[in-house]
Amino acid sequence: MALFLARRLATMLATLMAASVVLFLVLDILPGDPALVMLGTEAQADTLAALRRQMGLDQPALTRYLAWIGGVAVGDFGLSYTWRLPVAGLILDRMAVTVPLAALAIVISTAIAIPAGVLAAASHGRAADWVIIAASQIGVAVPNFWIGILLVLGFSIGLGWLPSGGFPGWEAGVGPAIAALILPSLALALPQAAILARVTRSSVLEVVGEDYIRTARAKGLSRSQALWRHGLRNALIPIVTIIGLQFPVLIAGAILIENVFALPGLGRLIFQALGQRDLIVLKDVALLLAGLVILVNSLVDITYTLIDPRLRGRVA
Amino acid sequence: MLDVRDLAIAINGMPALEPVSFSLARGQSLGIVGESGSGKSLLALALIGLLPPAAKATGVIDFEGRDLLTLDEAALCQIRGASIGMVFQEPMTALNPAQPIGRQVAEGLVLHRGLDRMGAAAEALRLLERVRIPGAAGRMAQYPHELSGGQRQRVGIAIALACQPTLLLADEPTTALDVTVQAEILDLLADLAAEDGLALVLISHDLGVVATTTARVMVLYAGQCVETGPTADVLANPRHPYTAGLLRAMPGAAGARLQTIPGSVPPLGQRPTGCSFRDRCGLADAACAERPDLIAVAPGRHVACHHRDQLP
Amino acid sequence: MKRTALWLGAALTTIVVAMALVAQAWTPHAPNRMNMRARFVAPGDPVHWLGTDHFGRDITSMILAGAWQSLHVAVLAVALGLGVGVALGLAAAARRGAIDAVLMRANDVVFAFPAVLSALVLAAVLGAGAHTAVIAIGVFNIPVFARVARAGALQIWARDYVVAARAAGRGWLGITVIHVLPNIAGLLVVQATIQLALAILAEAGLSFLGVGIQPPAPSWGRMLSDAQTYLDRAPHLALVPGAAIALAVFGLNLLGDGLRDWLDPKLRRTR
Repeated sequence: MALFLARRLATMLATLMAASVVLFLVLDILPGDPALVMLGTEAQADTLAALRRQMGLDQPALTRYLAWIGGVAVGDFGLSYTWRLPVAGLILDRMAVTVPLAALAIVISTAIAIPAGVLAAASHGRAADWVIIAASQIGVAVPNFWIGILLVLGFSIGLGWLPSGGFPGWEAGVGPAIAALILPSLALALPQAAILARVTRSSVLEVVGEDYIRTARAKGLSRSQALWRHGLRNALIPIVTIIGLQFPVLIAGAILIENVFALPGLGRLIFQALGQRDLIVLKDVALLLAGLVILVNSLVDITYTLIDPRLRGRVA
Repeated sequence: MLDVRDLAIAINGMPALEPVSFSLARGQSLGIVGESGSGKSLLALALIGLLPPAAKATGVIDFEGRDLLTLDEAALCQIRGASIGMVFQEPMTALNPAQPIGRQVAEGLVLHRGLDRMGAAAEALRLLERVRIPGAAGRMAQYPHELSGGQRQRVGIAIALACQPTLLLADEPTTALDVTVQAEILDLLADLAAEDGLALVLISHDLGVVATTTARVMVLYAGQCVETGPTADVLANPRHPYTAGLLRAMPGAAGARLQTIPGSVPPLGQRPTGCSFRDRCGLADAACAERPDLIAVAPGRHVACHHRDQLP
Repeated sequence: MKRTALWLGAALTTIVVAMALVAQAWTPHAPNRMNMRARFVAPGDPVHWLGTDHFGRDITSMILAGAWQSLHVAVLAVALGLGVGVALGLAAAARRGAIDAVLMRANDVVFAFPAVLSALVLAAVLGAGAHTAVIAIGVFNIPVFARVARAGALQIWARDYVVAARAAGRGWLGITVIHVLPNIAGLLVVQATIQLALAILAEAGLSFLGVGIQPPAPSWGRMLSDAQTYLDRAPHLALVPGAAIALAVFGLNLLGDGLRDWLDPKLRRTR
């Protein structure tokens, strides 16, 4: 098990490094002169020279890459050109919005999807099953930013219950902050819930037909006891896998949703960085988001190795 | 103790098992033999009340004075695993892959005998030793995938016997195992059944399996009981052409040359009228257009064939 | 009920494709013609059936023209992912070893950059536009197709007739073209249908952010982004393009699921 963890960690770091090299190539090497891209062609010669010096463009590419990655490793993400602030601080501020947003979305989608999927499987072939299947088919087809707009139409403009956008900050209190996150996380969660409900349904259906459920019933367990004690853990494997596989979709969704609701999160930050051609911030935030995806995937890998004892023998 | 009267099973309205009757006392054993599609597995599932939703059973299954077919789900849960144990065909899939085997054996003990975790674990260990799993103490925490097929089936037997049932059902318990392991498992089943004095119903497609293990046998064909009687007698002197065919198809049978029965069991809903075996039978004639009744040919010996006296 | 999915999906997809093709030849009005005297016309109008936007542009015409733009980007992106991904996946399955290992690791890296993220990065270098959207979505599709092709091909490689062909001395390229590719074609068609649906969603998102299709070409995503400003006075500006996206994606998803059931009932899996 320790060996497996070590190997998984090494793979994760290697993937992370590869992702950083790709980002460096695209944003530092491909443009030729990144400083010129950031300032535009009408830039003053001395401003341009100053930025070049700040970015270390007089140094060889390898030195620049190592300086960037070495800094990131110790939490120094460099200095934003537009905001004139350390990028690390910017990122930290914005994470206080994005992380709760994503977490809330995962919680909401799981809370909707797992009961819905189990209900659909339990009423296999009957009306409730068809309704849930149809709802999930529609759910996966609807863009989350459109759901966001519809939610604003209904709950902000129509009913006036919740804010249509913006974020008061956590210093304004937990209540208003959470209120500002409800509609965005709901918009993010609904399409996810649709996918998750489908997977839960088919996973539970598959497990219900397994021989070991029949063995459990032959021991005298009731239908639901057999399902809860023997089915759930086995049904969880595909569900956990999908939650992990869907994480990049969630990150992509967060970028869109933060822009629909004008939430000052990482997605909004990377969008603003693009608008202001701040390649430094763009590179750092992109690395952070990609890193999050890689981290979550590794965690999912480790999780289902914990759930499924058969995999443990195979990797050791 | 077990008295089955006119038990019939229909799947989606189509008859899958024609009415059969038999009874079994403690210490007795019955083999049920038939090809796949003969209805033998449905019969076993009916005896423990786990028929699939599409299947409907009629008749009476009188077990220790109660009719299992009229009991509600809660009452059946009290009986399953407690007074009736069942061993399944595929030891690979019949055990939960995500749970240590010790816990799977102990589960029934906690449920029916109210043991605590420690007590149940101690008892589970005793059961694993009883089914002759070598180094049982070290295997309690192992998962099914870490055991061989034969050992998994031993775990299956330990689960079935955990609460000292009075009736043990074994549905093709050796089919999925290597030939060398089959004999060991059968011996184990027979020994344990004899030690506890429990009633054993052994289901198999293989007359050879039944031959060494059970005292009486019932041969099913296409959902119909075609022959029944003491195992030794039926094997030595089959009176139904189908039983005779099965015997000739057994490797190492007396006739030396291995023969197969032409054709296959007709699927549900396509069974011929009259004798269901007549399409595959060498003795069939016009008389077979009428369904033969099960007729006593000797004490405890019944055959359903118009030509029961024409077999050598 | 299974066939219902196939036919409904095929019908909806045909409608969307027909919209796109018709828009190439004819739209009720020029999709970009502004008319400041007919702004915010509500749907149901005899002249502007689905109403007009804040510039008085005809929504029906924009939706039709947008269908072309959307399909155009989605088809190119999926074609890119399909071409490169299938070639890599087939090579990995045939050669195994180092190529396989490198490919799977590379997949993990690409997988970490969802299309919206890589489009934002690429837009900084390549500029915003349909080409950036095609590359970003296409590149994200490469590992998807590589995985499907590799898994399918590995199964075919284990078949007896392939073993026989190898014994007869046929090379890996020949076996791949003659035996493997035809046998996984169905699998690839199903995956391509589902990826097209996802590509339409991704493209709409990119255009919504302004890094996808650029004006003056109309696009569903940007119509939604414009609509946000006038949400309180003209909600139909948001309802119509969103419904168009959902309908196109819904149809393609149904078609993909239906095709999968039709081609191989045993393949009924969620992914």
